[in-house]
Amino acid sequence: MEQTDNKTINMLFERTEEQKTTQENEAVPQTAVASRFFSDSLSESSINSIIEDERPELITLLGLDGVGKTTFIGTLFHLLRVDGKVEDYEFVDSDTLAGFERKIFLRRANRNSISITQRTTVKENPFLTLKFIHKDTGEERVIVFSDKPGETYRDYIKHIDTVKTEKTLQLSDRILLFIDSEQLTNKNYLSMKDDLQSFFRRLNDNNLVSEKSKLYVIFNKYDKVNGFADTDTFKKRKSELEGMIKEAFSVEGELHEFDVNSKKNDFDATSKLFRELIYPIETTVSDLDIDWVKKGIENL
Amino acid sequence: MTTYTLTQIIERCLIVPLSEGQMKNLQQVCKTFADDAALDELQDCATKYVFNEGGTTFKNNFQSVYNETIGEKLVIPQVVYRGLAGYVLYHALVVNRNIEDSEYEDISLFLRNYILRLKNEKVTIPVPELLYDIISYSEERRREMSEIEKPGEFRLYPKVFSSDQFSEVGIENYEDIFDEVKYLAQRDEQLKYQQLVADLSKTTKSKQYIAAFNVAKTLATQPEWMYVDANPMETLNKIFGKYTETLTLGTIKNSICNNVELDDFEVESESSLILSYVYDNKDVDGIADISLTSLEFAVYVYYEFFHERLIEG
Repeated sequence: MEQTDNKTINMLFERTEEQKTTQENEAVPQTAVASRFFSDSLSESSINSIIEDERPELITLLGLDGVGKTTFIGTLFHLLRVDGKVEDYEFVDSDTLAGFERKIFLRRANRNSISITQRTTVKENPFLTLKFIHKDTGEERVIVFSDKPGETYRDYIKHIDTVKTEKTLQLSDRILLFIDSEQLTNKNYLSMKDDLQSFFRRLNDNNLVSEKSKLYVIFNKYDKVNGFADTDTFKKRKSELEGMIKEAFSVEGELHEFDVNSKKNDFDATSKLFRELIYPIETTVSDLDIDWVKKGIENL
Repeated sequence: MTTYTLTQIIERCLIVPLSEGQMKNLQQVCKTFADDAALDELQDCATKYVFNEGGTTFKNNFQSVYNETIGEKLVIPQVVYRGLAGYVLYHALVVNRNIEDSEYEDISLFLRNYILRLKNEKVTIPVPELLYDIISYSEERRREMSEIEKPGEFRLYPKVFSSDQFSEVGIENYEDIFDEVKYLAQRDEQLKYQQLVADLSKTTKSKQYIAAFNVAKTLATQPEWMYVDANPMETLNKIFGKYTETLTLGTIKNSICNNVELDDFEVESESSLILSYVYDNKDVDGIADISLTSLEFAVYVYYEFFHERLIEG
């Protein structure tokens, strides 16, 4: 028995050596080991190490503290664990399983369905990854989520130096901007509006908003609006925020909005959004303006 | 001209940008590399950058130049080599312009023709805008090369009509009339070309795609002066522009193979995808499923034959 155990342990070590050799051969940066636990969320200094031949898609969850970004990411992971797939994409792996597990673990609800999710702390690493395989084509799709604590974004308003440390927002392929809908119904609205205005100004002043990022606006905790959603005040406030967002993110036309509920087991809107996010942003040679034949004929 | 920086390109390959120090080192090596890059190395860079394929030679060479220049081992994710290849290509062709015009034209046509592969695919190219200058160069050169410069003075024309030898025209030094002879030859070739286009236009009433293949081949390969047409797309549009039907390349190829007696044309360029498919049955990346109008088909075929002719020359 002891012999078998030793053999197993040796095999494990052998495999580790093998992996180590492969890693060295592929020249993986040493920063890849920066996480606190194996497969924990990744930091800015380690996230690049997961990239191989293709840059993964970067989705940034953007919003001030308490808007439900981490709850949202926990729900996504929960849905993946339950279903094992989204549309035609099968969930196969993550470099940050422990990171997700931690968020799920921290995601709790009391009997009244009030989220008591512990907020992402400033020291926690922001990046989480999901790997999918398309069931028909075998196409691999890696998505990186950036879930920074809302306090970090709030710091951008207060301290001009902190905003200069932002490195990834402007490189996001998609931005999910979270708004706490409940605050549109109460006395906090004006303060929230001011905060958002200052936040957006700060982002724009520092060129952190790229036109290349696709914006999704998540009106979170929508169920908490109760009967208020149909009132003129709510509609007016929502419209005011929409105007601010459009201006800040240079959006022409309608915003891409999702009203997401925070009630336990009410995942419809989140699922709908995820079904959209799972498909890569389609880019063709025409979109990139390098379809010279099509372009040339159009210009004749 | 918009200038693109290495930082802009590498940012689009990664989630978090590299440090300023790393970027500075890479920039230095890229410039050294671009200064010395030969045509085949640049072609390798183009394939790596646009299609994310190959590039092993580029990677090995870049690593060794980095090692020599910076004095340390280069450790970066694989995808960064794609961005580096793009920057080296851009720097060598657009910024430095340190290769022959004909070589630049060769790479430009190579890229233009090879891009057909991506027509049915999702495409990810970090900062694709830097390709605009490179892709359009072959047309810029075509415009230059197709210009006809009128000589300041006509010494030969029209006296030549009433004379039987140069002495009667008063020409002693042939170099004096080179510009005039060139002008007359170019004008003559233009007229012949116009007649050729008019004749070919009559052959397109049925089986447009077969006609498109034949017309494109003839116009690209037959004129003695390869730059006789300053705008072949416009010429082909006059012939095929009225047809809106689309067919897949697979169907077009079958139609051509069943109706045209193909010669033994040898396809040299890897980027001549349609010619390789028609002559050598090579269906690269499933191009058989790409749908084209007869005009689009004619344009692609024209430029593939033209590029083959350029390489041969």
